[in-house]
Amino acid sequence: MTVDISVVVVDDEPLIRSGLRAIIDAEPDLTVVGEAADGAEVLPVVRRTRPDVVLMDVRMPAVDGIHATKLLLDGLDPAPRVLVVTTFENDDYVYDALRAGASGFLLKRTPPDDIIAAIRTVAGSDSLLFPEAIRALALAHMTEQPAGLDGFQLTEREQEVLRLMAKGLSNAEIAGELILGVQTIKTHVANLLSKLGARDRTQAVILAYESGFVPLR
Amino acid sequence: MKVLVRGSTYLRWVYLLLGAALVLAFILVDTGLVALVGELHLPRVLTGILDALVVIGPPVLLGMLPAVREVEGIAVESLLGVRFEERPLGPARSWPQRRRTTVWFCLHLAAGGCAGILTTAVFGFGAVLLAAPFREHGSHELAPGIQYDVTGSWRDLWMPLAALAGIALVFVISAAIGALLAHWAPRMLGPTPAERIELLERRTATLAERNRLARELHDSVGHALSLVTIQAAAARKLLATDPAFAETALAAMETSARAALADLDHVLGLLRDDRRPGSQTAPQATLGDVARLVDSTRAGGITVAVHRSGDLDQLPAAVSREAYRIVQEGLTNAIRHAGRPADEVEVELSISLDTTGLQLKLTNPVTGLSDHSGGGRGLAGIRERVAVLRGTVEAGLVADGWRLAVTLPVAVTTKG
Repeated sequence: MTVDISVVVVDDEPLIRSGLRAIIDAEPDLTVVGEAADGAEVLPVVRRTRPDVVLMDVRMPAVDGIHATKLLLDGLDPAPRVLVVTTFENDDYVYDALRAGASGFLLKRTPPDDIIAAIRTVAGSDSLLFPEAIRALALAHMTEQPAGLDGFQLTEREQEVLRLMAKGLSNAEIAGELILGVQTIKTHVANLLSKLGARDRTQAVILAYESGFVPLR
Repeated sequence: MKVLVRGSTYLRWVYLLLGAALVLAFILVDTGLVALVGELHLPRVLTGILDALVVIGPPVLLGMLPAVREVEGIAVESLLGVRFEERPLGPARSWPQRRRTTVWFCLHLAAGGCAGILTTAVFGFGAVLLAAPFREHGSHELAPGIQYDVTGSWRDLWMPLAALAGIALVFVISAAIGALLAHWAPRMLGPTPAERIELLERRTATLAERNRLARELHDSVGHALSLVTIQAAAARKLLATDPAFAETALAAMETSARAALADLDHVLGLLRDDRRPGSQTAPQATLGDVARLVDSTRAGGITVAVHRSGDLDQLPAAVSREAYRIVQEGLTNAIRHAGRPADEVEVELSISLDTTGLQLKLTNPVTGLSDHSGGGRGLAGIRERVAVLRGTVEAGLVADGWRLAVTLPVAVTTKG
């Protein structure tokens, strides 16, 4: 916890922003560097402040969190990690946001320590946030005919790594499981992400579920 | 003879006696009027016609009163045991409904009259016959010209037996007539197919409205509780180090919890009130607030050109509210489908109110259609709202981009 993590909070409700800011700023290694009240304001704020993580509300009056996430991830390089924040778990928009490239989602009722832990996990980017919740979301949005991942030409090793990623294992844990070096795993992860055209682990795992590569049941 | 131990038999008989009582009242009026007509010494045909009018006129005129449907509805439901689709049955709302109610009313009178005569006769003679074995021996007169002999032997037994059989017959006949009436009642008093469709449509609209209210309540209370949760968590963290923040947070929690309770109270009141669904919704944004919506959209770098025409203050509040939401969803869609950076998007919005209704038109440029292939949720929401208000939606590509056109029928009166 030597590296400081900077955060931008996006929510149309000022009291949600001030609450999140207080919770985050209370941690010595986390700092809120900016706020935005609508998806339309996010891009300039993020350009100016260059945060590691953006906490993004899903429902906002003019530009919602999904579209704002897309704007951020398409418009910036390197793009910050996006953590979508929502009131309701069964919100359809959450899955859309994950597909749009958000790294994970948080419920507003999440206890503060878990919010902090989620921000650190996402910023560290070494393991999947809430693998069970993502599986449940994928299950709820299951398509009729899974197409498989054959077209992406993953090596057997990469397929193994992807399966373990879906379980929420970090690179070090995957290395332990497969008795390989962490650096090797990192290379496999980087290769399979680029083969799948996925931005990060979350998108890769969603693709793995949607294609039927990792069975949902 | 199961009929005689069934409760419904006696309720049906009471329904018929109600008719009989009315018949008696009409007869009292009729006799006086018929006597007056007789004193006019008109030709026989004319007297006949006038007499018929005197007899038929009052029940028909009375039956035409809208309230008769309501009264008959209650009587038929409680005494004949009929369940109507429309409950409780309201007053007659149309002339066909009044006509059918009148026919029913006359039917009630006719059946009641017959049952009344039968009841009076059977109970009157029955009482005499029941008492017969205890009377003096010899010949007695039951009615003019009808004699019976009391002998004091077992042969007198037929008299009370006949009386009991007669009384049983009254109830059996009443039950049969009542059953027949109960069979016809839904067709005569209930709604016609057209009215049934209207009823269903109204019920569907009510349900849609209630659904929306419930959804909005869910959203607003969920929002308030999230806010309270986060502020409470923050206050707990900073209680020792920043008591001033903690105090502000507590005040914010108090305010939003109170507002949520007020909203809950209000919407639950609306949901409970069956008669006026959604007649007064929480103070929500209306078309008057579009300027603010447009400003906040502009703040995001999106140019919105607004054209207004017509006196929008004349709009019923419910339509104005829905129109605001349609514009809101339309703008969101426009931005989402623009497929280019926000500061290049130019949206044209026109709101006009005239005799044909309220027109909302939203035009925006579209370049990257691949941007949001799974779109259309916003459009589905708009269609849902418009359907409830029985308006029309057109959406599609035109020369200068994507065009959303919504027409809402409006009866422009003074604002209620």
